[in-house]
Amino acid sequence: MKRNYEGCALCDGTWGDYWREIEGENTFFCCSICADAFENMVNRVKKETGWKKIDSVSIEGNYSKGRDCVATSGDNRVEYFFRHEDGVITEFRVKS
Amino acid sequence: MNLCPVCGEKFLDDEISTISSHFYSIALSSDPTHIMWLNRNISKTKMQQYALNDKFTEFYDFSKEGLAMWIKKRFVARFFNDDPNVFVIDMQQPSEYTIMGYVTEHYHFLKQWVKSCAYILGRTDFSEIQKYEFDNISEEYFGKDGQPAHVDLLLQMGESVGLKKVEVISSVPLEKTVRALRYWDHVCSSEHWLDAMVSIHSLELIADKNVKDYGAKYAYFKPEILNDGITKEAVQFLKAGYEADQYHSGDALKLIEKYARLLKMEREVQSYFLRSMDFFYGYLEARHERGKMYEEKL
Repeated sequence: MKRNYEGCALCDGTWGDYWREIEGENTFFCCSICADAFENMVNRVKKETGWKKIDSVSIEGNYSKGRDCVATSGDNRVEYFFRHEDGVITEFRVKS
Repeated sequence: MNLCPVCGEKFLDDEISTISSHFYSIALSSDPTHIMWLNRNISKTKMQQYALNDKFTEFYDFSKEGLAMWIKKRFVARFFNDDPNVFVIDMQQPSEYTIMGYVTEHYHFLKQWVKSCAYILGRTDFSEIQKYEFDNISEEYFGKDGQPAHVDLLLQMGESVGLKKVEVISSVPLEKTVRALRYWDHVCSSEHWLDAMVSIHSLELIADKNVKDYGAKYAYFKPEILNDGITKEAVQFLKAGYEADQYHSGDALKLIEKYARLLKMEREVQSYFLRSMDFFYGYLEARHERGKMYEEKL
């Protein structure tokens, strides 16, 4: 899955050394909370869109502001916003 | 002595290298809370241990402006920056639900506040500290100069937006509030009175009129709302806090600076302040959450 961050897939930080398989790819995270949030967010996007797989995710924002994202799958594209608390999605809104 | 502002582990010395190496080794093991703290306060980019030590030295340095100003600027950076606490955003245009959430969680905060002040009063022999805390307690529970008690003003503010006093008094605080109150109760009843003092009185900076002088992008609320948009009881409560807290926190920080120097406790006072500020951050989030709960219910 293509991402806009080179560090932690959720927050772009480079501390820590936590890895989890996401969409078949071993993915770097700074900690387990970021991994939980990212994994839950990916599953939520798939549930909302009905997509089988996600090709790319681009994220802007942080914990307190929430995160504005764009995900793609083939020719399909979705824009959404989400927040999490301890890795659990607390707000999810599809924008377009 | 010093302690980790995240996990509270105590260190016998107050060398910066002790605390920075603690963070470095814990960050290597991907601990979420320490990493979040580093991301927020030091850098999101991993660095060598010596470089992290330099960053910590810079972060804790108060030699240019003094300890009180260091506390003010760190507080502002945490609550009033470009990305303020969610409750600070709510307060820019407070709805009746914001006020309800504020009243409910703050009622529990005030009860603990008075206990915390009393612990400090009982655990110090310095009479100017005792007088300061006595004054603070009486203002919260009995009022001062003919003004109603702060807690009564709070409950009246709730009633003005339809929140019954009995509902507030019988409410159970939300988890983040409970966590914070438990922490303050522990610090004030068990730790050095000066660590207790900085842990609670630094928090009064939230309503300091002058936060913009210390680099704030936002204030606790826009002064215009005191003229329009909220009930007169809410105006009365906010005005009392706005005027009293600025005075309180300013005086308290002067005392804290003085005694931290005298007792050679400056470094640990800094860390206790940082730790308390994080609990306060969560507590303000609880006010927001409670407001949302009222909004969904009504």
